[in-house]
Amino acid sequence: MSRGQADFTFADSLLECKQYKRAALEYERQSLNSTTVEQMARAMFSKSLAYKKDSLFLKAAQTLQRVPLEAQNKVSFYYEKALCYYLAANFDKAQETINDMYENMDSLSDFTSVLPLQVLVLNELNKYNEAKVKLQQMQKLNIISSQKAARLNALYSKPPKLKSQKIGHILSFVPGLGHIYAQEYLKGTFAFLLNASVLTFGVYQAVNGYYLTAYLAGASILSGTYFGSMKRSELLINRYNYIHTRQFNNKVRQVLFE
Amino acid sequence: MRKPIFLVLFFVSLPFYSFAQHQGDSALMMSKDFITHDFDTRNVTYGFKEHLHTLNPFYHIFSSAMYVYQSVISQELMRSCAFEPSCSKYSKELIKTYGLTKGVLLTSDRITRCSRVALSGKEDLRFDANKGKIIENTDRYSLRNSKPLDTKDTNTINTDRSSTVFSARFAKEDFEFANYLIGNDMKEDALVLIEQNSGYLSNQSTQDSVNYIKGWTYYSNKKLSEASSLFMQVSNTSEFYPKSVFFGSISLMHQGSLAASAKILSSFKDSASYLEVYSFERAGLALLQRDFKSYDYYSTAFTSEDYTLSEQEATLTKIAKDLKGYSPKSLWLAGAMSCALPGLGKVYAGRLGEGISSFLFVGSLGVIAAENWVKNGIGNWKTLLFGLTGLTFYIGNIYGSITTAKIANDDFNKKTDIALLYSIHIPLRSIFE
Repeated sequence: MSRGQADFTFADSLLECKQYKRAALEYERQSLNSTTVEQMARAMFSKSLAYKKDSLFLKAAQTLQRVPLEAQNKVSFYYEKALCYYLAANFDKAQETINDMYENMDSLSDFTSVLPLQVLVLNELNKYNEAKVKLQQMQKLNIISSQKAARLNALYSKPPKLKSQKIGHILSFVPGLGHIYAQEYLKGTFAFLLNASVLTFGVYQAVNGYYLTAYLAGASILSGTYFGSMKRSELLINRYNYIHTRQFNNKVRQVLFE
Repeated sequence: MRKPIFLVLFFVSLPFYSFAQHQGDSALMMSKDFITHDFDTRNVTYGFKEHLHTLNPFYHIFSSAMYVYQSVISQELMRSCAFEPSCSKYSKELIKTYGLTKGVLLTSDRITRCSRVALSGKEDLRFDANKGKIIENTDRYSLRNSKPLDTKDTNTINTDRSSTVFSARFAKEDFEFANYLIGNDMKEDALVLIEQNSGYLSNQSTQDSVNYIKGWTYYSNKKLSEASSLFMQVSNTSEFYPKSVFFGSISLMHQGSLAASAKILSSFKDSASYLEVYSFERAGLALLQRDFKSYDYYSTAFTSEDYTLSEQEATLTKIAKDLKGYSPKSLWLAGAMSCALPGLGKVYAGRLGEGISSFLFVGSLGVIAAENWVKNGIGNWKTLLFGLTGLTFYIGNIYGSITTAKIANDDFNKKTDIALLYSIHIPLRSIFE
């Protein structure tokens, strides 16, 4: 393909008109036409922006990987990449990108823009203590008002208490107890009664000499309900943790950006 | 003196600066909800029909039992269903389609197939790797013949120029760009590129190039209907004509339009220059049509000397041999075998796991019923409960064996067609790319 001079006018106007897919395409064309590192970087940044506006966050993050190495040494690059990964719900990658930024950048003066994002990423990874430290940094740098900081500190003084999978698993050796640990009292009672009735049926049959019925009907159903209760309690604990982290993270996000 | 003032001003303005810089991003971060549907509660409906106008008490007893099972009990069981829709939901669909009696019998067969034993060993063609489930619909239990690949010329090839019109700008500038995008795995971007262009071209040669690249882009994006239509509009004077004919015909084969594909290959003007690959494609097409006479005729051109073709020629020869030697499973024999010994018909149909599972289910219920019969007599509630359930599973397993034999035959044909389409596609990639 022949290379000409990159001209972003058409692509920019498409982006302006919210024709994001076509804009992304035209930026790709300009990346082919680009003759300098700056032009190539601009093409990729803009293409990523078009994807971001089109809510294609993972594609946006992947496009940023194609920014020439020489142009990657900027906070804005790491910020955009981490943001796109965060929006794509790939929190590990977002955290990894922020860590790369701290490792590769010398000047710390521009990190202020990344701090709010980092707090949100750490929250999603359930690293509340680290998030609190970042929040204190924001307060020191005057990025957030003291009123807002007080509200956030109040929130972080009571981070979500997550239920342990391990404890839930041990408790569910008694059917239903794992459910109760996940604060699902009705479901726990039902699981206990279900297992108790199947066990009673099996034992009653065995005691009365119906060994085949006891084994084939009682024991086989009991194995299904007993291990099923264990699996269910695991799911309920996950659900509990999900709901509580979601509520806390949403509250922090709301205070941070309101 | 100036320096401290500047610093104070800088720090005061910092919060406004950093938030103003990413104001749009803040809105984005706020609006993102990160909701997962993993913990959604099951949406359970009452009854098997859309309108609950029946007064049949059995209908309501069965509906209530199913409702309780779906809403409360199923979540407390160890195994999650291996199928989509799940056994209980599928049971509802079966009852809706086939009526209560047949629906219950077929449900019993489905339950025997949803066990670890039944699912072991055999790879199911209907398995969806993304969902991790086997996708099934109620047609599985229909004994009507499954739709074969179309042998009639029903797929009309769109050669109407007014429906596909292009701009001169596209022809001049975008041909290489589209090729670049496809080559660099940006196929969706290539699709955006070709779909944004419209306008007539007066120059035939340029028009051919445009039709070809559009067809190629659609083909790369697996939009085969559009691809075949565009490939067929490339005139025989174009340098892209041979490639367009071959890829157009294979696009039609993938859509099941075998007669249309044969017609295109028959009208190929340059078959002498591409004699071996042409014969190979015709031989593959003949096998898809199960036309062994034509296959024998075209396969005489196989030389096994061309490295791009030799391996696939051998594959085609093997498939032809398998097809010629294949005798379909008898549906009624499968049913009779399962009548004699539960699950045997499924073993005959090549589903060992399903056969063993059926045997265990029917056998266990039979044994429990027998134990209660011996100790309490035939009128005891346990004898009746387990006896009737066992009988339901027994009859369900007979019908299930018949449909399993039918599915085994269909699967053989489907697998063969997939292998054939794959095989006849490979040399084209090597020759034309």
